[in-house]
Amino acid sequence: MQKRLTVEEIQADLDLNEHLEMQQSGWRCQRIGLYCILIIVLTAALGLYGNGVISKKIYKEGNAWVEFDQFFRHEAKMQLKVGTESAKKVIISFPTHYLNHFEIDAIVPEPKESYFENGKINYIFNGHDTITITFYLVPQDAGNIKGSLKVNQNLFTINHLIFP
Amino acid sequence: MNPVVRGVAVYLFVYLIFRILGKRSLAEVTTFDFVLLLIISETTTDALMGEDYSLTACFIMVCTLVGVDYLFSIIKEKSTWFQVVSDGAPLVIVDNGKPLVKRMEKSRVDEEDVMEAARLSQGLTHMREILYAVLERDGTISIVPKQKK
Repeated sequence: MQKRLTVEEIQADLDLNEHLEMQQSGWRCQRIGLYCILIIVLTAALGLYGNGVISKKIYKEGNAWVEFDQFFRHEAKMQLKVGTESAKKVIISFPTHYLNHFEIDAIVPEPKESYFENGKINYIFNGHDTITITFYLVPQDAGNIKGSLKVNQNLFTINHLIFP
Repeated sequence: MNPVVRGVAVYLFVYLIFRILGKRSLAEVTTFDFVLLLIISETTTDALMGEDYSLTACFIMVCTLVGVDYLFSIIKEKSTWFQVVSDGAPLVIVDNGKPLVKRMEKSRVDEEDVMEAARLSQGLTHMREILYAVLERDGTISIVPKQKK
């Protein structure tokens, strides 16, 4: 069955094929494409691909808290912030299977000591009344990355969805 | 990510974006559009190369982009359907001095664009002097004047 044309039909004495039905499908696809661009821009502004409201996640447990991006982008630098209150010594431990997905670009402030034990990498910091430690991580793999970290005795489970 | 995958993904994405923007997107480039194109090319370069600035990566990327483009041109040659889907088809927008408004709206072309093309290419001054105006695949408007018929 022939599709109904929404544009003027003409009988031009020209040696060209307009492919009008395909032109119409093309215009429809263009409109859908423009909506897709709009959706991508809006969701990006809200942080669906990192750096935004949707992406930021904060977990609190005891006197510690962790702030990280749930969604982020492959090979882009993201921050993972860990904070504690009233602790003289802060031990943060990550399982190696989690850190294997990242390149650690920097840790601010720098840890006093770090060591590997039982499949976990431990970082030790001198505590103050309140301390915030920022890990600058660069995801090396795309996809879903599940992991956990322990801040003194408080365990946090964290998930990231890394876009390619 | 593998540089070939990067190259193909960026090629297809840029191709899709400019196809969505329509035929006229590149045919009427203003100064700002030109600056915007430079920014887009700079942004895509970063995504294409990542942090790998080696000569090998550069060669792979150039070969990938040229290869995909060549492959597309071969498919277009073999399949009319693919050619129309990827490049569009010419569209008559003025018939015997009468602007075809719906066609012009859909293609985001106005009478000013047609008259500009008529003045530049044929030295015409009125719409009634145009026999046909055709929006070509590359986004330019070609004019067939009445007196030449």
